[in-house]
Amino acid sequence: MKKTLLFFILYSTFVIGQHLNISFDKITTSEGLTQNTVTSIIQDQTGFMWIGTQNGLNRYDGYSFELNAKNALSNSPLLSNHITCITKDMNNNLLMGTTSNGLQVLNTQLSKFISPSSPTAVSQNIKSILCGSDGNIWVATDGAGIYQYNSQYVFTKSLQFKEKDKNTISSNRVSALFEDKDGTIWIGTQDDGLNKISPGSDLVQRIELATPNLAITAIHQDPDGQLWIGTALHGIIIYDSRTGLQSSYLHDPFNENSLVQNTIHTIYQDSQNQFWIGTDGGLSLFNPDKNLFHNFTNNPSEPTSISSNRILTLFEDRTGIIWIGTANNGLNHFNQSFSVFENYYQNPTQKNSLVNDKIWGLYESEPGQLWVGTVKGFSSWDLNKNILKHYSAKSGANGLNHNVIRAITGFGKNKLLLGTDGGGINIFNRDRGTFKHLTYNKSATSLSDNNIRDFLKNDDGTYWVATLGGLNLFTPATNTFTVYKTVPGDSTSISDNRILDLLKDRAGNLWLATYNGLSKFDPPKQQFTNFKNIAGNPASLSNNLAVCLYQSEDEPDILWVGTLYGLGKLNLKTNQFTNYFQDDKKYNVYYSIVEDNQGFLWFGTVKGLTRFNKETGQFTNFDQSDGIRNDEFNANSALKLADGRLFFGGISGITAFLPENIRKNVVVPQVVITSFTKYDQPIAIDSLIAEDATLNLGYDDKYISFEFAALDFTNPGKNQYKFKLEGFDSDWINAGNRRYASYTNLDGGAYVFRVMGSNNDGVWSNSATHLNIYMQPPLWATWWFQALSAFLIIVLSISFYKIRISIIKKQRETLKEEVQVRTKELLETNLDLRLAQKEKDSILHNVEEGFFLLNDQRIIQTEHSLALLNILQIDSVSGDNFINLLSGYIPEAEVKLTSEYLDLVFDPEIDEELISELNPLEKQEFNFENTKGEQTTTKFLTFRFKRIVKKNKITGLIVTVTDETEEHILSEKLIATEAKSKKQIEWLMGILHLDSKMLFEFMETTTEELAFVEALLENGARDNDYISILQQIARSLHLLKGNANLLDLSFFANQIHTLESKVLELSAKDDTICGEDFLSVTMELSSLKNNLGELQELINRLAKFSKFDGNTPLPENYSFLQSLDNLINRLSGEMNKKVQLKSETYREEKIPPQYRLLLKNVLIQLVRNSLAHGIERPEVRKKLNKPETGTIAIASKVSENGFIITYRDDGRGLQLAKLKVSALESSLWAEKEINSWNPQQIAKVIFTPGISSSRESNLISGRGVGMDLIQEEIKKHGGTIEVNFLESEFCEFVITLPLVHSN
Amino acid sequence: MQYQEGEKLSNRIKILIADDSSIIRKIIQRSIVEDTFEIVGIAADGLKALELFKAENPQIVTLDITMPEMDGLTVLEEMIKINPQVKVIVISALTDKATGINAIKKGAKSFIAKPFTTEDVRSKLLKLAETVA
Repeated sequence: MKKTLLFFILYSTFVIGQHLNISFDKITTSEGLTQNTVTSIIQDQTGFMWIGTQNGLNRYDGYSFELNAKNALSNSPLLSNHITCITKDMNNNLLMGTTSNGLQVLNTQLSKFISPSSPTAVSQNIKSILCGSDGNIWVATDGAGIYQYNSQYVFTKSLQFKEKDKNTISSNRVSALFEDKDGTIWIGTQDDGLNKISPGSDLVQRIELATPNLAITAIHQDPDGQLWIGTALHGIIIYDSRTGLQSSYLHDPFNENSLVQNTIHTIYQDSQNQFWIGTDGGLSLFNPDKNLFHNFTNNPSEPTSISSNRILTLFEDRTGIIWIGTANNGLNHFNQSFSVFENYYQNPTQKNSLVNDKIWGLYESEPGQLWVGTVKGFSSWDLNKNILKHYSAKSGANGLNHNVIRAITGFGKNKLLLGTDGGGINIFNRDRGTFKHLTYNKSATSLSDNNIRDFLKNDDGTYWVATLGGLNLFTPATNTFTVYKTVPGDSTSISDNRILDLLKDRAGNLWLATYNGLSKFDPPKQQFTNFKNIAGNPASLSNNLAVCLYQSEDEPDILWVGTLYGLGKLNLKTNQFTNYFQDDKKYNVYYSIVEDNQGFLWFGTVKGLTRFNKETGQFTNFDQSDGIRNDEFNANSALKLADGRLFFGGISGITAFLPENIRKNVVVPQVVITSFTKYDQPIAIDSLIAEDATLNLGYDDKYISFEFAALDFTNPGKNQYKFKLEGFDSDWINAGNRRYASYTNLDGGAYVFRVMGSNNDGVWSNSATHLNIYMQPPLWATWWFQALSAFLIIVLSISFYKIRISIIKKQRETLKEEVQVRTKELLETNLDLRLAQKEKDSILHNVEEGFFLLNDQRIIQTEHSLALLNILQIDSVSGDNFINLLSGYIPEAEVKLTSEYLDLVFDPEIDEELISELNPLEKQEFNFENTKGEQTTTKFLTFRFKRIVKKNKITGLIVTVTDETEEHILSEKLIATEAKSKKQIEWLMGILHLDSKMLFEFMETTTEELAFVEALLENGARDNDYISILQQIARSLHLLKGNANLLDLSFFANQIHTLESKVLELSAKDDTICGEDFLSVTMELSSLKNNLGELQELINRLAKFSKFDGNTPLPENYSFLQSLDNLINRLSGEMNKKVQLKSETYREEKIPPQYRLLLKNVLIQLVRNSLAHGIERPEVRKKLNKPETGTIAIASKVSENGFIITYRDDGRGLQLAKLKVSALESSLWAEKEINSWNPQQIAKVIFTPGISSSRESNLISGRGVGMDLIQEEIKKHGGTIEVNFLESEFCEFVITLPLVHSN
Repeated sequence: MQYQEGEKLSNRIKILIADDSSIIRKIIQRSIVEDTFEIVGIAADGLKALELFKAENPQIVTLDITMPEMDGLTVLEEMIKINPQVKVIVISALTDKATGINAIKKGAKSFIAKPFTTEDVRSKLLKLAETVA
């Protein structure tokens, strides 16, 4: 079984050969790095990464950066320094070079700096530090030569350039130091080449190199003993120290596998003995077998490429991660041992890249020859030579007819079948490069659909073709297709015409994954058996959208089905499914299935790849954090190649890998507690942990927290933690990947905080890191305090007892004395009492307020003031129960409340002041009946109760009664007055905008009318002609309402409207109306009159401010016409009609004043009727060929007959037919009579009260009122009114009034 | 206010204010004599008031019995159950004397009617303070 294979690692040849695509992870100042130019990187013995930048030293724990591990090194001289290099010495201390602060030594365990002894000159720019195998420390400076220290950091000697002495270094500008495997020290200079010091010697030898004045930047030795010299301008020079032979590696712009650039910053050998070269133009990896370089450069459009081309420093940590420091672009890192996944995508900068990122069909025709279908055509990919050739759609009979290639398979010796998504099948001749098309046509034997999904070759040379329009069987010999489609109602037909995948099982059945279930085709029986999801049956297909199928060689009775939700394992014998789901729902979509050589099933999903163990059912997911560039993979786009690699196609290209390479990170991580804070204040703990000391905390340090890290940088987000505070937590707490713990309000005592961590693959640290803590208990919790307290209590209680006894003895003595004194006093007071008695009597007799005493039974005592009887209007009270007395005057609820209140007053536990506000008898209404039993008086009385205390007992209450009736009444008046003035102000606002003359007119008219109405009421009471009276009243009110509306005096209009409605309601009553019904009307009228009166007052007061008072005659510019015009405008607006007023021939001034009021009323009513009944809407008028705007024309004339006023509107005139109907309905005339009328007679009907040819009544026009009233009014003045009309044309009223003199 | 730090402060009487009107709460707060009282809690509804009462154990409580969330009298009863020595001043409308009397019967010590001034409250609080000490 392939499963028994252990994981083994293929390196060197495989890794190098496949390193075409590495995904670099980035860390910059955004993650907390202090500065983005990283000059030096190193890992200390604990596991922290130390990063030197141009602005200080950083310590990285996988999550955050601490500037110099801030809690300990806050006084470090390196707070903001340009660090040039870091190395480790034999004591595991870090040696750091800076540009201006010389050499610094850091003990990382204790977080302490050690200052080396140094001569003052060493504040030079340090370029390199070497810790020699003998323990000596070499410091290379730029300009001051080399300084040497011993392992105790004591300066020993310096090496300087001396012009005359050839056995000194060639220049003081030293830039590189290296000790080779023989112990030779190599020294590179900035401007004059190479020097060496042989082991055991002190002499410096200068080395002649081909290039003079060589600027050396780095020196390294390869496994063959050759020296690699990195230079500033000349690439790498290979120097054989034995032979003196040199060669070099230089950048060749025409060779993409030459050294990437000639300015070398660093040469680094990793644990696999690979040489990485950092240059100013990228990162180079040297392949010794092929003698070429693999280069990594920055590609701005590819975020996984290296972030910068200026590579300053390189370092490999304990887990195999390569860290890269760049200039200005922070850190990069990647782990080659876990870079398993290769990503191939469309990369315009790369010569041989995919033509498009959306991958569909994959097929390997011969080992190493891959065919890739995309949405932009397909490619032939020779994997060995890495050559790609693309084919895209072209017009013409021989070209590819569609660009989306969903499926590819072999056909014959040299052809391919290509399934497109819309162009049917293309047969591709590989040799000729030509295409033949097989598409859908109407014939019975053609392909059923042009959207192809899958091919399956049969042994007999035929092919099954899965399409979106049914299953096809292609017979190449005849170029015909046999089609199988779903038949509605036939459950033995295929489950759905849309088929995604085909598989032939061991038994020879054809399986189809369709959009609506799994289908099994039995060729001999030519029947389909369908498997669908049955709700509630977990052994059924998990989801009806089946996508991919697989049968493993070692499982002849199992079929694997990947669906849109869930993975199904179908037992072919029992036809039952076992369905698998992952907790993380994202991974439950199965787009493709491939089995690797180890027996694992791999699935392409929406969020990466999943590996499935068929035996254990365990899922392992791989996503972008593992280096997969693809997010979403495509359906059935997966292939196992002959060499065992798996290729998965998705929407971002192809992800390829050899599953055997997937390693587990087995490195045991080191867990550290990185910080401790109480409240917000961090405390330095590194030295405490190192020395296993105890951290002391005070009792008020109530909030403490710890931060910790497992120092494995492979995928820090997946590191897990467990911690426990011994003394508080009873068990280990699984923190998941949370890396902090906090505690509050700990009791005093000793605690130990322990923490363990795991790496991203669940490998746990061997032991826990711990920190000892001691919490100072509060004073009262300490044992000695408690003991002392207990002792004190005992002592005190004994003394108390003794003292108590002596006090009691003394009390007895004083008591005897007091009794004697008391008796004497009593005798004296008796005398005073008699005198006081007399005084009291006179007070009680004369005082105005009621006074009385209550005993604890609530009985009124004999001592009371006379006034009490007056107030209560009662003859006697003494001996009465107060509560019972009250029930005669106030409601029962108040009596009860008073009784309860008195209970409280009598309760010695209660402070009477504190409950004083609860007294119910404050300004309480008392009702007094007179002797007849009728209510006569109401008073407002206040009772106040005060305790009488004798010898600490409440023996009774003294009660005062005051009559507050007057105050009460006054306050009510005040409230009413306030309300009234409020109302008046409202009115004021309402009338301020009015023309004063119009207001005056309104008041006059209204007052007159109301007087008229009142008179009607009075007389009506006598005559009993109620209905007609009511009608008259209604008509008057109607008029008044119109006037009020005219002036926008809505509050009056509304009050009048209400009254009018009431009146009309009353007049429409069927049963007899009696005088009482009038009562409400009278009252309303009265109220209306009052309001009017008030308004008049208001106006009068106003008038004093204005120049107009009611007595001056109307000036010439008074215009009734204006207000009529306003009315017309307003009404036409409200009724959506267009009407204009023509009044040129109306001479207002000629009209005698006594007629003005009459005419005003008449004209207003006529206008209203015209607007309501007469004038048609604009649309109607248009149809009748009338102008859209109706006209009302009024004119006046003086003749010998009198004043003639004409009113004419061009509306519909009188509607005789409707009038007739109204007449009939009114029952005022016999039908025969009505039918005998001529038009003029019919017209006269409008002057009858109660008739209206409009069905509705509203505020604007009438309830059949109007015309009759007008006629009456005119008649009253001795005039006449006549009507002329032409149906649909006009309606005209002529009013004639007798001539009079204007007075 | 002049007081000796530490000594006087620790003897202050603890008071809890429970009222849903922020204006009323302010009036009460202003009426507090700083060196005699210490406000240990302010609640705007009955449930919160009970919580704070249990947590802070005040000696005096001003309790508005018209607050939402819990019937004022029930809150009062609960408080007295928990600490029978507590002095509660109930606050309500002047027209609500019946409830006020009921509250006194249930163990409240005083009644203030809305609206009231800081002086009203102060005098009552000082009077109660004497009984606490």
